[in-house]
Amino acid sequence: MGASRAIFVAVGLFQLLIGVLTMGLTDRGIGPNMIIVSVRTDLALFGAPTEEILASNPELTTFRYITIRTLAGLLAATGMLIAGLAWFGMREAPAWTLALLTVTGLALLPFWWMALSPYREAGIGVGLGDMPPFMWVPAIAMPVASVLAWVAYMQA
Amino acid sequence: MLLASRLLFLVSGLLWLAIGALAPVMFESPLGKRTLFVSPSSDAALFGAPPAQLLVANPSLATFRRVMIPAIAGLLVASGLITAGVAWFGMMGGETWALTLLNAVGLVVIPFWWVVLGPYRAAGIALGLFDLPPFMWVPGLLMPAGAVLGWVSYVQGR
Repeated sequence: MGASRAIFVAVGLFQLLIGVLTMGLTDRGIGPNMIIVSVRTDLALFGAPTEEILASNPELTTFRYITIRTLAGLLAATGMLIAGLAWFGMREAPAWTLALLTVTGLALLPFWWMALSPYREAGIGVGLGDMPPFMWVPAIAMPVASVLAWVAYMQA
Repeated sequence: MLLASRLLFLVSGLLWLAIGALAPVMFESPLGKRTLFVSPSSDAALFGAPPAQLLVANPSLATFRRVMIPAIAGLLVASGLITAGVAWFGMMGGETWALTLLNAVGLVVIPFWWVVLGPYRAAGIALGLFDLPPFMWVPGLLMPAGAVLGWVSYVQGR
């Protein structure tokens, strides 16, 4: 149970950190080079380097500003909830805590699938390294943590 | 009083969950295309044209929206599930951590929403409460009320 709890807390803190950093880094460093996924896949989907597109498309630039920061706020909230629930709720490990974390981890998967559909429809292969870490880290770590938690729960 | 507090947080969580679940179905419908982020009139004022027209004329914008709306929706579902679960199960036994966690989440999103709405303020577009997306303003009203009721109940219970 300890390992499972540590994984959930780490995932939550990771999401929280990305949410907070996204606020400051979206328009600095590598931020302007990618629209949402990776430089390579965004170039393939949008047909031009991101900086060029953003410079010539003020509506997209404004919409990106708004939606990326909304995403950041929700990443911070989700991360805080996952870390808090895992840290405090899993101390006694009631079934509802494990069920909630398991369902949350699984519930995210179809949304990531839908979010990447424009890339699939355009025939652009999106590898694990192309995806934003806020998608692939919980997608891998949360099911693993859930299995560990349920095994420990059944054995207890 | 504790039950009222739990219900306010529960409703906030279920609203996030419902909006997140419905968004991928609704955002490509004619109704969904009337807005980009806030209300149709405010979006038209900020972006210079009605959203439905913009989404046809600007394929990059439409494609980006198809990526971002499901991603935002997924996080709304995740936040909503845990908020509702912690409100219902965690606060049932008067757990201090449950109420503290829900308060912290309600507070942490406020600066993000403030920054998100920055372009509207910068363009001089007045936003009323009902112009804002419900996932912002409904928990923005319910969560502080839930927090006050929850802490009063917790203090009285000791």
